[in-house]
Amino acid sequence: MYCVKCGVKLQDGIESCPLCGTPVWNPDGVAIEGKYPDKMPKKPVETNMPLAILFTFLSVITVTVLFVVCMNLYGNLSWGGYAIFGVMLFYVMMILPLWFRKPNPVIFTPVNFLAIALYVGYINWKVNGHWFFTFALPIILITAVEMVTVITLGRYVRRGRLYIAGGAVIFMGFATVLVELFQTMTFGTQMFTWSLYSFSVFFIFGMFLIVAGIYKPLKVYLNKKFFIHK
Amino acid sequence: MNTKWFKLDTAGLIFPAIKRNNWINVYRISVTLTEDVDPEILMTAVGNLKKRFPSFYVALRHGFFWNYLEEARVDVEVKEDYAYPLTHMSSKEVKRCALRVFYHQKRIAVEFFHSITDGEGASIYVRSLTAEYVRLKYGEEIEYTAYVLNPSERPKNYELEDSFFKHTNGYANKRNEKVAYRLHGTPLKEDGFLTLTTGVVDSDILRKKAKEYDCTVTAFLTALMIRAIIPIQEEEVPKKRRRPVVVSIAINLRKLFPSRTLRNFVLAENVGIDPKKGEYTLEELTKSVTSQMALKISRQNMASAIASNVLPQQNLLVSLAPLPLKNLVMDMVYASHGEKHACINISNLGKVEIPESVEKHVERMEFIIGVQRTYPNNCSIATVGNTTCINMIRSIKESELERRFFTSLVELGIPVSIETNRR
Repeated sequence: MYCVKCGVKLQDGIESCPLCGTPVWNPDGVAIEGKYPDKMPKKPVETNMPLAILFTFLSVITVTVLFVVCMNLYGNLSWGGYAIFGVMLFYVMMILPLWFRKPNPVIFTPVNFLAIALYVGYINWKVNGHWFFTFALPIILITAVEMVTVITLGRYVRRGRLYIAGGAVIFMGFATVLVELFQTMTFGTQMFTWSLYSFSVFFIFGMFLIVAGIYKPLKVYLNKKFFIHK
Repeated sequence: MNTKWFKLDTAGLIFPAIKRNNWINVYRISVTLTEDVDPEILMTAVGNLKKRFPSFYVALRHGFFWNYLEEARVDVEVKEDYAYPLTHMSSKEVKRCALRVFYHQKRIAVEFFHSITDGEGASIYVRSLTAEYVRLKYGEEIEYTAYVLNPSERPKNYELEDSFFKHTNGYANKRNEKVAYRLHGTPLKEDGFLTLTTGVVDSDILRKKAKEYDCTVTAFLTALMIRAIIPIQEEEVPKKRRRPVVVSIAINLRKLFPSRTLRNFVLAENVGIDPKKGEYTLEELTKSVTSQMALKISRQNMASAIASNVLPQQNLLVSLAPLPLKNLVMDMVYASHGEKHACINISNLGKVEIPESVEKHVERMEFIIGVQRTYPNNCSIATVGNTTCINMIRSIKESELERRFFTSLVELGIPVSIETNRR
């Protein structure tokens, strides 16, 4: 049999031309004799499992040793608490994603910020600080919201990277003002001593990125002058 | 002579460094016999060749400074073929054995991790394997030649050498190439599936046609490939932004230098045109390709190309860098230079000579290279007797390139018969 469109000879019994997709008339109803069997290979799963298991054991050992040593020496966690929770923080941020084949940053980033917040909260409690709820936690939350938003948009929105970046930079400008506000609320410093400077820089740079997104020749020019990948 | 472990040869060094979780450089040579394959006999034949081809029955291992190949502790697997060739060879598998054998109906197929050997070495192995199989199955008397090795002989030193070191001229080529057009398409739903389109052509007609255009078959097919890619780019890229259309041709260095190694002795050279400069007729393309090939594939130029691969290895500082660092650097260099300068590879194994006692049991021989890390199409060619098999492989849905390439053969009056593994 031949393809009426391409003019190539085809395997007997094939339904359509492999080159152009034109249906092939099969008057004698012959069955195709496959060049290859149907069996698909089993997908070998390549994971970071061994590394994850190794580090899980190492972490458990470190935490146990620290706990036993501190309990023996002081009868309470003392300085060991910082180390133990530090190890746990490291575990959540670095090792936990290794258990998964394709860890989704949209899920893992909030988890990381939660872990950081808990760790900082623990330090605050340990030193009897009064700065956690009015200063540290809001900053962590703001950063978390910004990071998660940027990562989510970057992952699921294909176009408009410059708008996302510009928006993120402007948001960072507002965030510095908020940080100073929390600073004033918590430590009683004067408001608007430094944040307006950083705000204006971030705001202008963010707007510049957005303008570059809108005005194509500028984008092309910047790309030409500052490209890193060839 | 040490046959228990081998240093990687110069060309083989790169492949362990550039592999990915879903991509590795493997290729296949298959022989289609006149009768169904007997797996038991095939297994015996594979085992019988082990002593003669020690550098093939190996596993990839990591040293502190370099990777190396070590005699595999397991037997080579002889398995029923899958729905597509060149299924992914996982890191785990390469560490067990970097060679594997498949059979399906009348076909014996051998797949090689590229660090073991190149197409020429592989074809000698496959021919020897076929001869051994034919000897066991049909009791044929085999005339052993330089291409069909006698399994009862011992391996020779010159077969295991790294010929790159012998034929360098110490003066490295400076590369100054433009970034080429990148073919692309819709990824397939089945992760990892490779669609193979084989065009079977009468080699005499093909050779005669190439002669009409005053060029070799490789140059002729390269020109046709360039002619097939040009309109694909034209359809999607405005003229000002069009990039060069370049084909990377594998060059068997044994034809230029006296070497009979069974390890890698191959390098690639890029040949192409810049579509910004105007339109090309087929005559102009074949002429351009032929002259570029003449210029690049000279003994002197290739000795310089060899030098650029050998020189870094002779640098003490490079040698002393730990393996992970080397891997990282090689991976980065490959990512920035390795595949940027060509749209597709063409690897022509040429006419594969087989002794008559074996050839009467052989219907055809096929050479299939996998897709590249970043480009989704590749092309490989082999000829046995009067049959040339042009294998085009792709990891994408669109068959546009295959259609343009094969129909251009038909339009020139070369009958093509098409086979595929996609139902």
